[in-house]
Amino acid sequence: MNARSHCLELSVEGFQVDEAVSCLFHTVLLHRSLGKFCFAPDGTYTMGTVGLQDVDCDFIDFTYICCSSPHLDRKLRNDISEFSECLRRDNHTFGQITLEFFQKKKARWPFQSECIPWEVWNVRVDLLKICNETNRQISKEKISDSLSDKIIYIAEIMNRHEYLPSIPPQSELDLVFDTSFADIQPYLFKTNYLTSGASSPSVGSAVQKLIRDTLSLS
Amino acid sequence: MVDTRTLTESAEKERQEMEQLTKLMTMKSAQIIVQSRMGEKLHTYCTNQNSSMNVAIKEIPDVVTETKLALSNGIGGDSMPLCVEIFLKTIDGDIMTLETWSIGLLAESAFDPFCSRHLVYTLYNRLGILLKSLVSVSRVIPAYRYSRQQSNDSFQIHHRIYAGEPQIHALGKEYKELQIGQVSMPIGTIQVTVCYRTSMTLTSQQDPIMLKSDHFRKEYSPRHNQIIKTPIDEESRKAYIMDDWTVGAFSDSLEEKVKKLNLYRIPEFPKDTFIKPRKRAEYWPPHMVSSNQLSKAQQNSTNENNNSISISAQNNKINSGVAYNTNSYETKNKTNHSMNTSSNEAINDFILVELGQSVKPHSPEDFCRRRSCDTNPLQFKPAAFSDSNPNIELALFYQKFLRAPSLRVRPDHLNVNNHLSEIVEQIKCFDERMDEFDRVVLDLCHKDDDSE
Repeated sequence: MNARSHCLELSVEGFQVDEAVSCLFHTVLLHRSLGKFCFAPDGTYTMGTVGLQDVDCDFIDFTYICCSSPHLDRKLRNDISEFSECLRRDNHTFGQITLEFFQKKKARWPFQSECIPWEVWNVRVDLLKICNETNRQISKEKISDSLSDKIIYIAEIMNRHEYLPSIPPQSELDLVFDTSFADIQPYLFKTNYLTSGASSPSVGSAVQKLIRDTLSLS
Repeated sequence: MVDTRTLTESAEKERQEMEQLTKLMTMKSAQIIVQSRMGEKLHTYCTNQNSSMNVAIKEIPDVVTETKLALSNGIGGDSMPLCVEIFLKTIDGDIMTLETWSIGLLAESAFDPFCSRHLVYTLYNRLGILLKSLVSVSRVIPAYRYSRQQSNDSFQIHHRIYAGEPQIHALGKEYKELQIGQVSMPIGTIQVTVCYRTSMTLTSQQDPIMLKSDHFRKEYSPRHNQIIKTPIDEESRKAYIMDDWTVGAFSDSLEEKVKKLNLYRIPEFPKDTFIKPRKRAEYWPPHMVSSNQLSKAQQNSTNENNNSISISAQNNKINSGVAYNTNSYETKNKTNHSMNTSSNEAINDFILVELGQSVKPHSPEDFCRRRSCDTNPLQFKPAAFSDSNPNIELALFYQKFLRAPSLRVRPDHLNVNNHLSEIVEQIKCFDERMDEFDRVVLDLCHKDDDSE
């Protein structure tokens, strides 16, 4: 099955990466999260409620809404911070972080379950270096407008009647949803990132990352 | 074989369920929109309990009531969209519509009687996603920033909920339309759209109106027009007056207005009368125009007086038809009340203007004589641009006051010296019997103590 892929581009300064990426990923995850399922003995289930929370950015004039799940926020924040630090530490000029939704497919022993992505959100980040405060202010406004357009785009994509994994029975819930969160139940997702520019990634590090990601999925 | 009756009942049930879903979606959308413009940060919590559309949204009772009312008033029933208009109101009362949201059901698809239960659940989730999109997008539209900046000192955001076609014209010429999303249902397609203003300036859509400026035109404003050079000669004066005047509806013609103006024109004074030292004049000479009413009142007031001091006003001749004459200002006696007029018609409107320095009376008799004789310590000038004469009463009163009879001592009244001697004797008596009074006071105090 081919995964839907969407690409979003951002041009921000280093200290704005976390917030810019967070606002996009949180918006996507809000649409791709459901309330916690409560199954009855007869197999029927009731769905919990997704809480909402406004988040004001510190370095961008922007407010976005996300799920009011501290656990989900922490996980996403860690992933994005890792990417941001890598991007800024090694003086990269651009990087790409990906939010990938997938579902698992059980495999026969001794093979592990197969991960099948069904939707991928790529965010390409170009790092800006602004020395002038006036230009920084202009850039800030541009970033706000750019993020607004991207949020509208995400909403448009989300409301297309495209493929979504169907609700599985209780026994197979883990194959579709991430049930590790206590208060919310998003579709299974993972983040990957790639940095490039001043220091090009070596083949070895890419292979290492590939193996690390593969092992973490299993 | 499927029973047709059972199928019909099932279809009807499904339809009702869909309609309920549509109504629920509409109510929730209105809540989200209104709450997003209240200027407060949203924070609701995830719960394991089921709620409508599985999105935690607070319900404001007022908004629920307004939405229900709008839906019940909607002409044409379900086909009319529900609109939420967000507008900004400044402290000056200026209103600017910022955006208009509409939640409507487009009758695109016919109801499918074979709709399965699974579809209802899918729709439920789809509608939940649409609500999430609505919440997300409501934060990125310009009105959200304004809602966060609202305060009692600057402006506030208000809303209006109504059923019907969205009133886009209130958004001005420049606006954007944005479709948040749509969900196809068997009974139609739910669509959520927003039209928002992109030009954020408070301007009128019609002819330019001075919303906040001086009420007067600049050339008429007292602020900009404190020094006006009036033309001197008669023709240019007339032209000057007519230049700035326009004839209003139901008013007299312009020529008549100018005639009236001439009546009210302040007569000119010879400046030297103010400068020249008056050797013989103890009191300010009468030299100003008064009306016939005023002169008659003066005569009446003098007739009423039984004062010993004669009032020469009776001898005055009122030259109502005499033209202005500067030579008549020479003071010949104290009670010369020649009156000049600048017009053939009587002038009824006056303002009181004090002229010159008042002469201080040296004695009470002098004051009485002065008050009686000095009938013109004030000058009456016509008030321009006034038709009524509100000051004439004041002038008459003042004239009467001046001509009031002076106090006279009655012959049967005791002499003041006698009174004084009586008072002195009484004080002397009290002083002699002081001890006696003290004893009486002490006795009274003792009695009060015993009674207690």
